[in-house]
Amino acid sequence: MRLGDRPLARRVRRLLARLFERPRGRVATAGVLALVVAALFAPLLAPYDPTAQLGIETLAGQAPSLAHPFGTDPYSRDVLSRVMYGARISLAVAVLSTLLSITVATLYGAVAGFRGGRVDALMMRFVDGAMAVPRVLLLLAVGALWGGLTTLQLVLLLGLTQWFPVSRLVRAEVLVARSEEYVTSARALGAGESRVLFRHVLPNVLSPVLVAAMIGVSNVITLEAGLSYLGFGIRPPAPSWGNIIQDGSDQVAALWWVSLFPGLAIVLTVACFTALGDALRDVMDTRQVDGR
Amino acid sequence: MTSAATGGRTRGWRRVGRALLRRALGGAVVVAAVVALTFALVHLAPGDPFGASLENPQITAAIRAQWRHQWGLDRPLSEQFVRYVASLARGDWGYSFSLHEPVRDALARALPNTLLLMGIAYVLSFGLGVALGALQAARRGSILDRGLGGVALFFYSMPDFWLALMVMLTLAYWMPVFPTSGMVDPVMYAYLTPAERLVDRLRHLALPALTLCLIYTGAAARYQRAALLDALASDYVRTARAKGLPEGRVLVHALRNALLPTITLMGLAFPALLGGAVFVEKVFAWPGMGWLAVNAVNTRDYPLVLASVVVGSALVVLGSALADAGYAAADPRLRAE
Amino acid sequence: MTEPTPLLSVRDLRTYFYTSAGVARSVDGVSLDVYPRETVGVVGESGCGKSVTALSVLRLIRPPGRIEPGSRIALDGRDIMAMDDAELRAVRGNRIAMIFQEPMTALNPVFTVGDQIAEVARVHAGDSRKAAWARAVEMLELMGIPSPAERATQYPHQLSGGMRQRVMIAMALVMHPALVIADEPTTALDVTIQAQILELLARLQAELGTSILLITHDLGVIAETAKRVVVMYGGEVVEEAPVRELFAGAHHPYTEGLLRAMPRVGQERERLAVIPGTVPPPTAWPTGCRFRDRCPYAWERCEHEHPPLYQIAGAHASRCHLAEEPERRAHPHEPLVLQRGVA
Repeated sequence: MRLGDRPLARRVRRLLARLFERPRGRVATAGVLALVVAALFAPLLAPYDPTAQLGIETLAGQAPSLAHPFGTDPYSRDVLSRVMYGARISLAVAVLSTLLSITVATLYGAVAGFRGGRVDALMMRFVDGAMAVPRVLLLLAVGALWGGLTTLQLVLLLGLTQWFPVSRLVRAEVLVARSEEYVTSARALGAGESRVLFRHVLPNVLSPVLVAAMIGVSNVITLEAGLSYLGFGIRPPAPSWGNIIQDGSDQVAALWWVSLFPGLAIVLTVACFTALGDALRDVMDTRQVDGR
Repeated sequence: MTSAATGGRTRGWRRVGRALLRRALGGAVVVAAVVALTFALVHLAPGDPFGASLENPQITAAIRAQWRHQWGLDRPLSEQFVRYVASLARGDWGYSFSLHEPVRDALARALPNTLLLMGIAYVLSFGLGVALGALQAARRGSILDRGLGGVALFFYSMPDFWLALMVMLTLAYWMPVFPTSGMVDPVMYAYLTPAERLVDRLRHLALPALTLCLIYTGAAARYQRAALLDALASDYVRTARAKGLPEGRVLVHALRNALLPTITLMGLAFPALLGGAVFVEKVFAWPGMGWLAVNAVNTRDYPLVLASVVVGSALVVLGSALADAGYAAADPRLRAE
Repeated sequence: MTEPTPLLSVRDLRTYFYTSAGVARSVDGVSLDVYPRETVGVVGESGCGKSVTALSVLRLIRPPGRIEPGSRIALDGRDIMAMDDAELRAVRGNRIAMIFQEPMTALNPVFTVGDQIAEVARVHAGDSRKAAWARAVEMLELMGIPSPAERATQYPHQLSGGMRQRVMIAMALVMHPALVIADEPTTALDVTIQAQILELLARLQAELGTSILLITHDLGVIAETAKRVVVMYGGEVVEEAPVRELFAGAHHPYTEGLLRAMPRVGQERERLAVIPGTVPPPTAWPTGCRFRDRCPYAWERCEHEHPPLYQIAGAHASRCHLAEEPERRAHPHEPLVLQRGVA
């Protein structure tokens, strides 16, 4: 049974209720919320100023201790504080560029699916082509050659290279939804194209897009970390998980804690978002037993 | 076999052949578009390959202008593009500023190294991932399933470069079992016997390959588990059970179908694996395409940057075409009318 | 003449699904018998539990579903519920075979139909690859499929819907099973093919002496093929009768509704009566009579007292209190669902 004809709020509430029934859904949601809270309240929670060099002579490259649970980096900055502030930047970049990418993907996919025919074929051909571009190499080239990207530019760049596969997904859903009875009947009642699109089709597309968004956040976090690690992403001294790892990577044997902890933060974040995506998919796939 | 059946089969394969030809043409168009796009990005970027020389007072503006002229960088962009495409058509990739050798030679050295690394990672991670995912799906909900699922998610969530660092830390520094970087031992290699050389190469290959394998085995296992669970819930599996087949045969029915989405994933995973290889090569100083690309962008070596992006996209196109061919071979619905 | 012993005997079958929305009591105390060489029809709307009953007989219910303890299923007096996996496999596809509704999804898309039929002979008769293949081709021929040797090498998507269903039937009959359970075997097919398939089933039954348990929502199919009918509603048997008797005079108001909803020759389609309302969800059967909300005769007794299966006459039984208070049939009213304004 399709739920497209129900009010959105009620669907969302049902979805959340089903999500929280499962331990995995609860744990993943709690994890994501905890991360967001930690990022939002980093200024209150972080023990030190993330960019302050606490004593380059005495406190550079200290192993983890009670005063510095994650140790200090070669510039004598507190790694724990940097990781917490890094969460702000890494999460913000990931969430913003994912929002951008799913917006573009939804509009693009919806137009392609609704138009059909030649327009659709052409639009999908473009997506096919774009998906064949090796994204990491391209981002590397842009990041390095154009040099010193601002955070906003980074968000745009990541978001606008992220939407291709999601647009195929949206298109496929639109094609299915479009052929369903309620859309046909809405049309028969004289509802305009855009009304049909927004009231009847997009709500159905919401579920797969939500899952795709979770995967998208995971991907962007990893990718932004990689670019920042290579020095083409978030510029120091502003902390991002990727460039903190970079600070320790030249002497990983001696300063392992500098690279270890921000990496664990990435793993934790990506795992939480991925698990939340999995749980959402499970919840939305569950069909009611109709006992036939 | 009757002739009609043979005829139908030949027709089917011919259709596949036509589809592949279309793919090849499409791929060529994509690669051409990538050439144009990258060319524009590279040449419109601020600065030029001689930016570093600004700090050297000995090199005057006149010398830089002469260099620019020598490399053709002072001509209009359209002309540069035409020249580049023309030389590409002749198989000439240009001359690398930073390596002081033809780009073609650099590619010829780097590409096999990357293909070796990716090939091993590909085969091992999909082989192992499919097996583990299938095991999980067959024992759905068991402790084994949950345990493996957790481990798979853990590795799947790791950034390639970070896992590379951690693998290096544990297996090269803390437990010095393997060398930290490079392809061969820089000092001893020249004095080794052929057998020892092979061992030395394998020891250098071990950590980069392990890093990629851990991550992509996790990805493949997650995917295979989901695909097999889907297949196990299907009507034809119920039919297989209703026929009285033993569970092993029932699993064969499901696995044979679950293979199809996995083949698709293998095509889709290619760009990701290539991206992963870039980071892993960088960390382990493995002299492949990724390592080459990172050095090229760092030195603003335009011809080398262009070449590595173009080769990368050609690899991706090739990978997805191979996956399509594999899919067509595995799915009779695509093979025949 | 002594009463023959039933081939299949189902007693008090309960199959529940443990879902997040609650326990779905899809099959809730069903008893039925199938005698040798007999065709029994099970009829009801979707959601009444007829397909779950069919799957339960071969214990093909997967989690979260479960056949509840106390349910008894016996084949030739052998307790199916007590069988271990190996014994059960020896019954499935061998003594009892199933035909499913959607031959497109029920056949494996990546194996040839010949392989899928031959597999049954290999597993149950231990045939060699070659002998099993020969048997598969022979079965296809028996199904009236032209050039069977060539068809056997084809994949399901290369066959028409009717052809695919013939393949399903061939697969079911390889081992000459004592009982075939056919779950909506003609629903996915168009009318002319439907008739052909039903005819084929009837012919094979006559030739092979197989019993058939035919699950359908279509009383017309029952009328053509079955000797006895079991009507299901709300996970229960609500009426059971020989076919002639049922068509001559149904007792249960639900069966009455079904019969009225059946298209007949010479009757205009628009004038077909429809039973108001829908089957309630199996997680929340109403108390008392499960049909009471949609019933034009329901009175307060139906709300509190769950009706037993009353014996009406000989082999005719009905789960309706009208059996004890027949005078109430004279005063039909609007069913509750209509009074509440819910259609």
